[in-house]
Amino acid sequence: MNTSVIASLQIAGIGILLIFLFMLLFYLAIRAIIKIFPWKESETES
Amino acid sequence: MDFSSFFPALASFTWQHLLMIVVGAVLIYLAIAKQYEPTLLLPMGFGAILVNIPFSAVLTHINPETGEAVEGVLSLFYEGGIVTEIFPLLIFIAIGAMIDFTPLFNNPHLLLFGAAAQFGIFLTMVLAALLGFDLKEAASIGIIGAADGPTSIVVASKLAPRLLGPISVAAYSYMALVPIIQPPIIRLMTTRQERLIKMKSNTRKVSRTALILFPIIVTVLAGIIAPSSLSLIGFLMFGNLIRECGVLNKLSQSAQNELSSLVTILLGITIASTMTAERFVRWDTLMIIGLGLTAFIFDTFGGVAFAKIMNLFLSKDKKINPMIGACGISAFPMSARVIHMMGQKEDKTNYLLMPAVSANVGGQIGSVVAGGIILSLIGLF
Repeated sequence: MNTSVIASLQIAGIGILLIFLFMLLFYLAIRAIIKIFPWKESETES
Repeated sequence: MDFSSFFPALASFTWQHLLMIVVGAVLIYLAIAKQYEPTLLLPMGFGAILVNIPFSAVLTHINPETGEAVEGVLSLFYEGGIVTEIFPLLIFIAIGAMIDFTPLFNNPHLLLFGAAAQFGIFLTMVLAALLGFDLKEAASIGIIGAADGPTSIVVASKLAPRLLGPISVAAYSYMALVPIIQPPIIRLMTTRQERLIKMKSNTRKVSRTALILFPIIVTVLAGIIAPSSLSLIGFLMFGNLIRECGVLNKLSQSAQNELSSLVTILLGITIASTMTAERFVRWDTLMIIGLGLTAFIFDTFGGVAFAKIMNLFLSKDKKINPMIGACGISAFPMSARVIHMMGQKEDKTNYLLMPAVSANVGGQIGSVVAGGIILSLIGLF
């Protein structure tokens, strides 16, 4: 295997992990935002 | 009198020029007759014709009489709009202004499909490297699987500008072909029983503060982890903030309509400036078109497979219809619509639209994040 293939395999592995990490963080951010700033009756529908 | 001096363009015509004019005509046909991404494919098709007439004045060329270089308008657009990333980033503002994150707030766990359905990007990158493309080119080809035109353009223009034409054509063509590409893969990977799974859709209301904070928090998080992704994610989220802030409705409407339309016209025709016969009529192009399809197929595979894995750990009443996984690609709202229709085909009482849209919005974020991650990681190798 040439260096490009090895590097692409490494990037693929790290990349997939990173993208799940990002999404997990965004998921947690959404959960936190919903909890801290829930919708209130006084608000107009968003 | 020499005939060629009267009609130099005609005398210089080659079969490659002719082929590219046919390619341009096919793109125009697909845009008009089949309505496949007409806003992009039509300008690209016409541009392909424009730049493949020998001595075309729209490209920078040498004046045969003076021997001096004369700037062509499409070359200028390319330098000013694509090399600098201005056009795709302006499109991101428009897209951001169009996205409503409310469905994602209703089903935040479906955001994870936006990660799983990027699998095709990485697999295709490895395949492209195996086929002999260098690392930057392989990454640019893989990003076709983002199913997100502007992300593909940003990554390809940075890493492999010579492949920008075929990558853009592949990305936009396959986005339009999602209704044809996804269903057979999904049927192959799922049982009828799985396709019949009904999902509860939450329709809770979301506070304005939450919707305003989300784009800001996402930008900060993305910037801290992968600063290279900031131009992509930042502009998308900026557009969304304009939409959600509630005090810039006029700007939001302008971004969604006028800005989007104007930049799309310029983007399409400018990308066509890279579709010259010399750059496009190559074996590479055919390989890129084939690899692009592979990326879309494995994106769908990744999303559906991830849903099936998640189902192993979920209780019976919380199981996810695995077809929803396929919506993790960024082709919005096409993919969500396709899955909803597939669900309806199996059972008229199964409404999958809401969770499908949630996963699809996750896919829009996922594709941009994937582009940013690739740009960041390539710099390290």
